[in-house]
Amino acid sequence: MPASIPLLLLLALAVMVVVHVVVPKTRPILWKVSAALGLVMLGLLMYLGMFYAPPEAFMSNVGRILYVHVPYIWMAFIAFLMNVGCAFAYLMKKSWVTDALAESSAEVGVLFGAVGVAMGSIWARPTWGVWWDWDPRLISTTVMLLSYVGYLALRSFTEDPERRATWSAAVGILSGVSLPITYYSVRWWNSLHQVQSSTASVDKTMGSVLLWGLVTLLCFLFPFIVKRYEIARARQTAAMELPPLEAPRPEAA
Amino acid sequence: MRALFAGLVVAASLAFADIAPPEKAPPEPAPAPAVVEPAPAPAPAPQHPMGIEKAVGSGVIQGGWEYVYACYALAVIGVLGYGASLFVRRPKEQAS
Repeated sequence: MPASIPLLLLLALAVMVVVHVVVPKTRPILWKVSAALGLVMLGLLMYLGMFYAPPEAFMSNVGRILYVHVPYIWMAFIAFLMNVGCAFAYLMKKSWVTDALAESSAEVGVLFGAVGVAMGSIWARPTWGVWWDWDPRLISTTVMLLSYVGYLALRSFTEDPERRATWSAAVGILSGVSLPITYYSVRWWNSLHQVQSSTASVDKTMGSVLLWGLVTLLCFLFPFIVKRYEIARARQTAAMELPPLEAPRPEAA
Repeated sequence: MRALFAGLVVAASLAFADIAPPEKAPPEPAPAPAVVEPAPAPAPAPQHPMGIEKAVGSGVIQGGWEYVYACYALAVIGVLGYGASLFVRRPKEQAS
């Protein structure tokens, strides 16, 4: 499979995200298109990852876990980066939109990160001989995940919406410090974990399947954040009696 | 009397003592060469239905498909499960 196929799908998804942001009328449809595309691609990823891609040189078929483990962790990083960006944006200019986006991205990131770490643990058993090792990458990833779990706990324990938004933005930025530490942990310290995988660090066929996995999970990341954002906005509205999301704007006289 | 007793002691000790030089033990027969049984053939690694195992060389991890299946199942459960949780938690305006 040429890498151009998942690249084209990635481009289509990027267009969908842009249209979703720019043209509000398309919002009820585009997330469904993305989710449906994600489901089809996930089914194909099962085939591509387990049967199409060649076995890894040393790990053989166990190496096929790469195509789901790495994209899951990438999604967690993307979501957490989005959280940091929203936290900075909120502190610079207070907005309920950035606060809701920060909340949704943190929860989605925790989901992807937790599943990714669980996959890594399963992968460690046949390759390292243990389910878990207190390795720099694993420790830093655990700290990163726990800091975002703490972020979500802080949000749920704080009653006042404005105070919650400000405090969680500060905690979001602090949690963001763990992102580069986690990412570079395999290079900064001696680690059992291999260095970062990318589409350039593996065989061309494996790279295209890895890219396919990335686009597949991006197709899920987009609707997850959109739908979780709607939940966060609805809660804000209920808490503060804000005008509804789709409220018609009063026309200028 | 003492002489009789002493004579009995000497006679008894001569009778029970193993004063004969130890006989040389016959050389033990050389052990028969052990029959070298052929080592049992290693159990074949579980074959994948599509025969991908053929491409796996020696010196690498063999098998391990159960871990692969577990991870792919987790990948599906992760997205479907979270999608279901978002559906359950959807705002009331959308639910009605």
